[in-house]
Amino acid sequence: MSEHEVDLVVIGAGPGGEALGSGAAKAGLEVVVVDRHLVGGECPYYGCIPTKMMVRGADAVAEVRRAAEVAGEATIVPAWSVVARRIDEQATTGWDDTIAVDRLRDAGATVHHGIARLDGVGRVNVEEPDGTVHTYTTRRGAVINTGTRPAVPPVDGLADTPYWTNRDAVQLTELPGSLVVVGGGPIGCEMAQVFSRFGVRVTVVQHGPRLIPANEPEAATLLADTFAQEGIRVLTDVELQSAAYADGAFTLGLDTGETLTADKVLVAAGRTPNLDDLGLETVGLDPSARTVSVDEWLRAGEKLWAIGDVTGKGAFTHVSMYQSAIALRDILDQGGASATYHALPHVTFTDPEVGGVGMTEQQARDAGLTVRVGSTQLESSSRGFTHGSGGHGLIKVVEDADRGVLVGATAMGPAGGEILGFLAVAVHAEVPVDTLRNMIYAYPTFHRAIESALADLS
Amino acid sequence: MVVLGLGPGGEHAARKLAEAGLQVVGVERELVGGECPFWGCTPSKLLVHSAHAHQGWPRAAARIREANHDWTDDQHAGPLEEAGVRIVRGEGRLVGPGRVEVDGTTYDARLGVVLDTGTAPAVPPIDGLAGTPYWTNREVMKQTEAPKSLVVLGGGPIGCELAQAAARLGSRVTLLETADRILGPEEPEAAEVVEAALRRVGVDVRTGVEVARVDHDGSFTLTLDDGTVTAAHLLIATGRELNLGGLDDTDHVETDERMRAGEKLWAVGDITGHGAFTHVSIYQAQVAVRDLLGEDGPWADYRAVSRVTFTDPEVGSVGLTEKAAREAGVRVAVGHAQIPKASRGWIDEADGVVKVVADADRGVLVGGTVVSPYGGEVVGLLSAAVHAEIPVATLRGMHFAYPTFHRAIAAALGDLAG
Repeated sequence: MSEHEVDLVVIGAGPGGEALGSGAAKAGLEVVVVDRHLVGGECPYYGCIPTKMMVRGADAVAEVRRAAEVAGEATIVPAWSVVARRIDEQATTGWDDTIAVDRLRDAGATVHHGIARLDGVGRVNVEEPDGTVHTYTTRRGAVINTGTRPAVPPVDGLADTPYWTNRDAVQLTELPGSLVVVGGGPIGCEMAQVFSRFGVRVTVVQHGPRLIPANEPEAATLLADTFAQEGIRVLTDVELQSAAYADGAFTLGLDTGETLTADKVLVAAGRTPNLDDLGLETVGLDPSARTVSVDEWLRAGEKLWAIGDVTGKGAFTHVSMYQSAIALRDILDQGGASATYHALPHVTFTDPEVGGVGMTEQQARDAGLTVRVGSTQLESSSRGFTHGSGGHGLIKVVEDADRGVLVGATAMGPAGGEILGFLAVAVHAEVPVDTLRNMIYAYPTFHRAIESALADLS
Repeated sequence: MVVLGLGPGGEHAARKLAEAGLQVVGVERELVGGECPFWGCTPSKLLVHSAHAHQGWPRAAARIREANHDWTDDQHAGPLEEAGVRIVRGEGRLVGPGRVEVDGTTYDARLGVVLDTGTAPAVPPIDGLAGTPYWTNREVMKQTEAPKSLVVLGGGPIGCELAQAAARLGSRVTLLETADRILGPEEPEAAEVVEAALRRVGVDVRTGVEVARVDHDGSFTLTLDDGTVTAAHLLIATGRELNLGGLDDTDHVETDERMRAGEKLWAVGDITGHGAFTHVSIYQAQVAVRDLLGEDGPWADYRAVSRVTFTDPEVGSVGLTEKAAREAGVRVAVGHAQIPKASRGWIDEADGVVKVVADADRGVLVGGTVVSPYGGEVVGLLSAAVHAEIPVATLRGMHFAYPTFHRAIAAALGDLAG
């Protein structure tokens, strides 16, 4: 056991932790970065990056299949090996983090693969795989960026089956014949559509009343319709009650009495925060809590900051990166703007993409606002019409009528996540709706439909 | 009211004025709806979309025919007449304040005249060109097969869109541009990406070339400074000229912020010189209608005119280019981000660039360009920022969703420097 004094220990090197550790080291601080698994975190190895490569492949398959309706006969023989190779070689270099570790070390940080636990205010113990323990006392403090792991619902028998999570799904080299996806959130929906387009018979089991529940119900309905047309079976308002695996097949019992069988099961039923083995109790925090409370500077206590999924502000890489920049400024006493979340965007990379920012209509009503909403169908716009097959979607805007500004919006369609950029800036900068209405919207773009949605506000 | 020319702006003005209870005559010498639905935006985007899916000019041609009902305008004229507009077909001309003559009949407008006569393809004075069966945007939209080989003269938005679409749909394409680069009004960084994209689909792009003469003998032969180019067909896309009849010594009709052009005269659309785009024409028509109906502004403001070239990748831009901003005396700061280095660009193996142009004294963006897949959608964010003069500091404090293409804007904002 060795003791060292350093400026800062970063526990968990997902996107935010890695950026903060690197930034602090470059600013001249003595920094230690610890990760249990891969430096870079879930996003580059098991999340955003490999799944978007899967989506890219699936979108290409879908576009070729639409060709007959807009261009002429075309055929495609989808090959998962192409996607698997891109993920393995280009995205994750065989799930090896050497490049990321070297980048951090070049910035001047000390990097450990191991388990870090808080040991009182400003103290962190790091246990390496070979049992070596380092104790760090910090001059500035510690940053928690431990992220989340796939949550596994307490379903009878499930834990004993070889179910998959997102971590397994991105490492597949071949696909099953049939798949049940447990969970209809963004990850479940993206994966369901990808695998279906590559020829897997997919069933989505969602315990709530609709898919992608964080989004407007209109978007969820349109996505469910799209899934139905593509041959994905969507079961909503059902509970998975039992799971068993025998002879190469899963058997799933539902509360409706129905039994599903499938070659594989993908669990995408939310995330569990990695807060349970972190020594939070040594600094007076609750290790069984779902989130770490932070203020607008991401301070979680004395000499303690927390960023990323564990803060509960949105489990997105862009939130973690955003928080990381603010926490770093606080650690370096640089001031600037503190964190706000009124214009938080999120994109589900299904086809059509579903982009949302700020509040849904229901959230705005629940917040007691005087709400006006406007919406339009993308296919009734000029560009939606010329796009033809695959051009459906919608725009919905939610206005605080008292202030005359948008507080939320949804853009669903081809490039819905890009159309969203316009709405995100409008919500973020609180641009008056009157100002937005008097804009010139380029013709014939998809985002010109925003003008129709604004005109529909009532 | 008399509305002379029923393109998108004139059509909008005529309908709104009639719905407001005015007695409106709409004059059109060709198709009600104008260039955009019949020979412009809509058919060209149908070609672009079909090209994007890698095959089939015939299928695109069928969809174009279906979209514009075989070049008949009932879909446009019908709603206008239902709104109470009397459509007069023929060549209209101003014969005094508030007076328009159409084929011998004179219409006296109590309120005035809205001019929306638009533009026609400009045909350059090249030896031998007149009299050959060259195409303009008009003829190309009526083709039912991909031309075997095609020379496109002019590397502006129309030339680039159609050159790429034709190449993808199976044509051997040569693109000739007089200037030293294509897409002259856009940022040079954008032109560079599009030129590379055109070359990748096999378009032979030649810039800085002069065409000395054109010959046609079953196929076209163009004589250049340094040799000849031959092709089965020739598409002229060298710009547009105003449909102003006797007024053609001017390059545009001067309008004020209410679109007034003179006594009892309003003008909208391409002829006003504020950007030959459907969205500008409709915007101006809305302004003119408000003025005519005695409503309040806001009046016309062109700081945030956006435009999209629908190549792949798309070029979306808004406001001033760096050069235009410098010429306007703005203390300029620019920022760049390369799409291939942004996460999503890398995932999708996409080419492109984001460029933002700021007024460093005021701390706001005055222009921006996005070249990327869906660049025309990504630029929406920048359009809102330029239009609403959102401080750059506020934009930098935004959450930009990962991994979208528009997140590259955050990197470009971070790169802003004087």
